[in-house]
Amino acid sequence: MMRILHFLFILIGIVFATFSHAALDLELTQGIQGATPIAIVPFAGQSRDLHNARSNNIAAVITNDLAHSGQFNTIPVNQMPGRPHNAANIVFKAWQKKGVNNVVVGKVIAKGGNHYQVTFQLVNVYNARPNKTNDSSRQAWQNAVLLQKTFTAAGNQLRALAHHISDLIYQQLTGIRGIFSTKIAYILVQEHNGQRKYYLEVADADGHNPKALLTSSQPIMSPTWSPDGKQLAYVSFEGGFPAIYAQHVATGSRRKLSKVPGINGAPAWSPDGKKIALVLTKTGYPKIYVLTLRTRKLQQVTHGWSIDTEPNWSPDGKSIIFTSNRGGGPQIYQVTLATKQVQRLTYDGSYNATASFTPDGKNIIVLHRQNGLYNIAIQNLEKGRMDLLTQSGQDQSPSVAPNGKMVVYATQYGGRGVLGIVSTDGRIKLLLPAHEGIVREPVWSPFLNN
Amino acid sequence: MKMKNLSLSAAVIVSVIALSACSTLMGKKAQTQRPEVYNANQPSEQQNATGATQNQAAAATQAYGQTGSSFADTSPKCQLAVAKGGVAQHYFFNFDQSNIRSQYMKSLQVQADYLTTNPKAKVKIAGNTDDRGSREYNIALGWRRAKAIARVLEQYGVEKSQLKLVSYGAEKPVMLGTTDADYQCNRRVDIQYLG
Repeated sequence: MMRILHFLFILIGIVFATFSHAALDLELTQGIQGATPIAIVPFAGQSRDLHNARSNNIAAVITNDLAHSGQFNTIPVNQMPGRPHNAANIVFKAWQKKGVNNVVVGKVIAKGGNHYQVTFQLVNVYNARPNKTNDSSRQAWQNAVLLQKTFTAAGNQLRALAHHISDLIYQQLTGIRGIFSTKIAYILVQEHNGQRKYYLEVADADGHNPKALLTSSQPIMSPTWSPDGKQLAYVSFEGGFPAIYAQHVATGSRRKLSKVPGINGAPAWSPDGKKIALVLTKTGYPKIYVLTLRTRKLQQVTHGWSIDTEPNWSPDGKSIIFTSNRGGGPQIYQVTLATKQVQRLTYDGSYNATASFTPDGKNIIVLHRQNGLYNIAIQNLEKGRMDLLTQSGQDQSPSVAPNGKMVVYATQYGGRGVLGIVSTDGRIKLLLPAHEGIVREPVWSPFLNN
Repeated sequence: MKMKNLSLSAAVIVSVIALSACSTLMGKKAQTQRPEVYNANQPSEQQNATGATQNQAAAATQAYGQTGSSFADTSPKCQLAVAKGGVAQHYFFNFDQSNIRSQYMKSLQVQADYLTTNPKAKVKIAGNTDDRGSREYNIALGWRRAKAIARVLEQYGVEKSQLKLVSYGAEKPVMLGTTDADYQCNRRVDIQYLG
């Protein structure tokens, strides 16, 4: 009887189906002044209604992506002076009069068998030769085309293709790699009939297409991506005690990485994909260890009686930053793996935690507490200066996007846990309110090449 | 299909309150009474009510737990919320601290007395924190609280092998609000007798 009861206590399901609960909805709450005006004209072969964000409408997806970057001011369809589908048909002066810098035009052509040919052109309406802007001769408009490409895609790939086109447009116009094709993993907590249920989910960076990797009646925490974006490691309390698992996102297959008595926590994948840093209490105290995945060899990296936790790797893989209270309260320290030398990084305030590097290695993003308020901050490592990025006072779990430009974090809104996104210069702010339950512990995927 | 079996088990499980200690399952019946009913001077009442050894231990020590006034540290709402987790001793902590309040020492001695006279008995010591700040740092803080309680029991002669420690950090709050009373209720170590 006991064994059955103990078995029943372990309620887990590894689920691949897309949940029917609504996606997170992205809301821009603050964009930059002087955002670049851009018009994405509804593509030929698709609806002119760009407001249906859940659709496979390519122009709608690109419009949302660029608008939500906070760096572009997207023109509504009813203000467009025309609906061209080809750069050759653009009347440049008309668009210049509307104050639009760039226009995106394109076509979606059904090829049968649920396959489509998609063409787009990114046009700068000021680049046509000045004395021929009213002339639709080939030479005038050809100068104006900054980018053009043709793709073939299946019907269910159109949304992903639209995100890819957003990446291309974004990179062309800003010089920075776009993050529209990346994903965010997070923990969702819901309560049904007084029972709490925990989900580890992965969604597109715009909050769409959530997919649950794990459901459990016990807490799940601390997801971390492998550098190739194909696996997630996380802490699961299934069975009542914590263990660290690594799970393939595509197939759902998983293996146990660590389940020793005490804490098994805060996993962090190394940049070369071969090791995982983690926290164990083998010595009785929470310490940082490095586990080599192939050999299962475990190496203790920090020592002593303090709390050491939240390891995160430097981009070059040679050091680990972590949270430690060895100086009294939690602060960020850096340990060089070759020498085990430890250096303190943060001195602002009495509480700094959850640190991670920006991809260029020049800054760390931290959770910073001041006067009882928990906010996300960025510290430039060279200058030692810390700047607040958020102000709600109820923030935690920051994670940097792979282009180093945005940070996703957990915050409170309307009395519930939701995700927020802020740019690393603090100027752009977004919210992703969930429709049901509490969302927390977001972690941004690497660039995904698929 | 595997999925169907899972949802079947799920249906069964939902009808069973999933707790990780068998004594809490049996103690569930006794637990529907409010903790105030247990009278520190009459532990034998609880012994007559049920026959199970684990429940005796839990009930007896529960009584003395009340003498230690750990519940005086919290609101009635907290007492109710915490009691839902099953029969256990509860010890509350200050913000960011893992120091044990002096009024708990008598209750801890009673637990230690039981454990030293019953060397086969085991307890789960679970550390918790309030919801603020870093989640993994809170796991470590919850661990420190559990360790502090365990250390006291060991000093009273309890064997390490009788103590199973776990930290839930901020992951299993009993109160979901953001008032000081809610936070205080969550800053807590629970000692549960294992079957």
